[in-house]
Amino acid sequence: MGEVGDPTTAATADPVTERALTALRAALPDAVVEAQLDGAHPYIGVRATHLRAVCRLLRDDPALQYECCHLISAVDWPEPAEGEARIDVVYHLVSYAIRPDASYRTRPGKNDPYLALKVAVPRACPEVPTVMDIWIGADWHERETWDLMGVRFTGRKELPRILLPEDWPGHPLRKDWVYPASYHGVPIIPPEGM
Amino acid sequence: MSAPLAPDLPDPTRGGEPGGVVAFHERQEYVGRDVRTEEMVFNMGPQHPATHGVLRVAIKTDGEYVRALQPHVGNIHRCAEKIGESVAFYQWIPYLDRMDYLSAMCNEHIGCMAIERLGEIEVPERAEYIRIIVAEVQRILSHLMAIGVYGLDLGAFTPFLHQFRERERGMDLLDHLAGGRLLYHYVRIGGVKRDVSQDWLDELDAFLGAVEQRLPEYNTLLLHNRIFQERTFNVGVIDRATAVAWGVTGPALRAAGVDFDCRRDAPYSIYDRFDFEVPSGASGLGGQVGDCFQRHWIRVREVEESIKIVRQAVAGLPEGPVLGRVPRGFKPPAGEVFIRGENPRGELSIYMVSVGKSEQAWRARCRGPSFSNIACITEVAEGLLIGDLVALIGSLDIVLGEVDR
Amino acid sequence: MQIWLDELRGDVSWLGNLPAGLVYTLGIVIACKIVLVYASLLAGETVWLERRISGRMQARIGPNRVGPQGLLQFLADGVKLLAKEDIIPATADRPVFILAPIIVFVGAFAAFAVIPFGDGIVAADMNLGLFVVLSLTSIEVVGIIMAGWASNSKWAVLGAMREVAQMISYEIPLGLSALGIVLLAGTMNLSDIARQQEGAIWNWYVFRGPFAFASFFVFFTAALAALKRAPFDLPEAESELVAGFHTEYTGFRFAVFFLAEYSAMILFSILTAVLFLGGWSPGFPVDLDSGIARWIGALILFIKTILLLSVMIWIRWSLPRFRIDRVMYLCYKVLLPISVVCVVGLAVQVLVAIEWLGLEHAVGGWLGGK
Repeated sequence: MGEVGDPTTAATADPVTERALTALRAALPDAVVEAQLDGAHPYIGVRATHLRAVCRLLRDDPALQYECCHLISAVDWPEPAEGEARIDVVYHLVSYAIRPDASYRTRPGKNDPYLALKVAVPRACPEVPTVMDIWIGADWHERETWDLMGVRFTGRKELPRILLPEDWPGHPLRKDWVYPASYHGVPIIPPEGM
Repeated sequence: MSAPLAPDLPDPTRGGEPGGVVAFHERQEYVGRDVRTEEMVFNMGPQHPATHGVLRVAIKTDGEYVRALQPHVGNIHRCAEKIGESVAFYQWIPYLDRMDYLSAMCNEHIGCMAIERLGEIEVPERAEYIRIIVAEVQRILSHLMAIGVYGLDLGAFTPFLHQFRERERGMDLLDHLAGGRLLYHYVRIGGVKRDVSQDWLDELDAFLGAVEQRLPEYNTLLLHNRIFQERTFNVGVIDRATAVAWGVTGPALRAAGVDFDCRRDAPYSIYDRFDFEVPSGASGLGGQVGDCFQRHWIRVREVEESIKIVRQAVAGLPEGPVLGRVPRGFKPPAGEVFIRGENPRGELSIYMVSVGKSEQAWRARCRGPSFSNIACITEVAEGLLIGDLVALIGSLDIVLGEVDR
Repeated sequence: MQIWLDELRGDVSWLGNLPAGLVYTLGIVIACKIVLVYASLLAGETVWLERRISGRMQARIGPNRVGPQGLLQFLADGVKLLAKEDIIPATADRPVFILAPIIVFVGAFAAFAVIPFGDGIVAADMNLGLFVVLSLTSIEVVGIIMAGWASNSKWAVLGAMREVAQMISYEIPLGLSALGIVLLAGTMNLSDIARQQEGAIWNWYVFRGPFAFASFFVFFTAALAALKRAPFDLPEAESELVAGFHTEYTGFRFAVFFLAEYSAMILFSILTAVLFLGGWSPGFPVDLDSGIARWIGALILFIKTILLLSVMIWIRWSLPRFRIDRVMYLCYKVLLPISVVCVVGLAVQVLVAIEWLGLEHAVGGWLGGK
């Protein structure tokens, strides 16, 4: 958990994440829950209720211009080390207009100018507001996240499955998902170790 | 751009009401006229020759004009991510091969990098160079295939078979190295499986020479062909805003005028040591920025650049071991990692989470470039002719194995 | 034909005793049978030719196992197609579905009756030969739209629509450019047109002035389009429409479409050779009028036909496919104006040559032959 300007992490802190964090703290002080600025995967933790405001800010701020939602993933934590069961929805954003200077490319550690946002939602009721209207490309990623992980994206007209059939039981990437005995009369034999 | 089929009728691609598809025969200019037309719904695929696998596109057409369309994917979903959570790290690499089966080496390279960063494993210098060599050879092979298949989509059969002649040599090369022609499992965690020999490098050089020599021939058959240009100029234009908003990456993004290549702008592995150009769409090339022609042109240019990179890598190949020490039953510490790399088709990203003390990943998320690239056709394809839609899908060069994973 | 039969009646006594009408009728029927078999064989071998040439163009070999150099490949293919299950889709319109390939076949093969394969080697030497050929080949359109509609498949309908649009459009420049030659020749009899081009190479109609020269290219291009050969193969564009109008056809019905396509190719190659490229004339004055020489003339025409077929094949395997709107553009805005100009130009040429210059030779047989 690194703070901006913390002398212990300042040397290794990722300037890309740091700049976004500063802008977010200034404009939406309530939105940021946590932030990790160093390590292999720096990210900013955001409250689900503020997600859309955060995303809009990140996209529209002329100094940030995160114009592309590169990837949406979700990580299931049924028994986390601390706190209650949750699902992390992770957004990886990319800006093609604003790029760090050349020295960033040869930086040790993270030298890829992406920005990661993390939204933790309770596992019992995983609901995240959609960002499809902010980045249209998020459409299929949200559908896939719903399909495989069962995170509901609210505010969309519809949220159909994308990879699996509409009547497939459950969301297979949940850790507690069990193989159905059969699907439309076809017996399913789970592979070893699953 | 495209002349209407019936010159006295208004062009249905223009002057349509914004948003929402209005049934053709209900539109104002046709009410009260004798002509009555109906929209027809086509299912293009899953067994259609031009959908490059098992993509299904439901198209609503006015005669030959596409009014709306919806791609349906998932027909060859093989649970790559679920498997990634269920098998040991090193066992997942062959599954990455099978995602985008035309760029297996690149997939392996990026997948191994993600796991290595998670476990903080050092890769020997020589192995890094060999990885670059095989990944770029793979890029050449993949682009050759894309160039040839695009010809096939547009009705030119000959370039397709011509590129196979060179591609075959390249596949033999990788076969000698890895023992497989399409799916290799050659890049391993901590290095690569086998060292390259001097003979192999000589053969590689001959292969590069052959590609360099033949590339102008393909261009004569396609890129400089008048009919090809008429088919691709100003067709299926994905402009910068559309491409970026939909998350389009790779040659399609560069054709849209975004000068971005992971290898140069977010360098991974040792790409920062090589000197190469990143071609991007420009208005002087013919056609317009972001059309099918420029996507094809980018691929042709990238083959040339890849040849440069391979030559530099071969010249700088250091001596040393090719496989670092990786403990048996490798268990990386807890943590997460996000890696993206430039595949022939776009950016492949891997996001992995490890909880530590486990041989399996807690979460192994992949982003196949084709997945986002094909999503954008819902917006771009409206108003095209069916023949143009084929040109558009072909120019995006998707691999369905990667869309569905 | 008639000359032959007359000779035959003189030589064979019992034939001479039969009524002349009966002999002529029987003779024409037998001749048509021979032509049909010959055309089918030729179509089969054209498939072989195409596969071999495309093989050479594409760095591969092509069929070379069945018979010498793979020459009998078409027989093996025919047997294979015959042995295939004959599928008629459940929702198809059965009678129309069955009738369609027959009509296409008839349209393509009937025209061979009036095609001269050499001097006097023709089943029915009609005065309206060219007219008959163009009319009979347009019957094919009907068969194809029947096939597309009866299949009850959307791709087939789309393919048939394209075919009809394309074929009807291209028949205009095709007919107009042929009309120019009729103006020069003063006849529609194909044998006569060919005979007028005997002698030196500049007697060939393609070399009789700029308009005739342009007409040749218009005719050949329009023929390619009417034959739905690449780059105009939109009706069966495999990457767009799966297989176009014959998507639902299998087995021998498919083979019939296939055969009809190739026989039409041969037909138009011979027609081009006869109309523009001197027919059986080798390009220098030589007497090919009678006996064995007649067959040498036929061989020369055959070689010309094969060369034209090779050009068609060469074009097909080098070029990408046009887009439907560009095909229509090419027809109505490029070929049609050129062909109209050519017809007018040739008419003026004929007028000038006869009225003011008094040249007979430059305008061919307008004033009664060479």
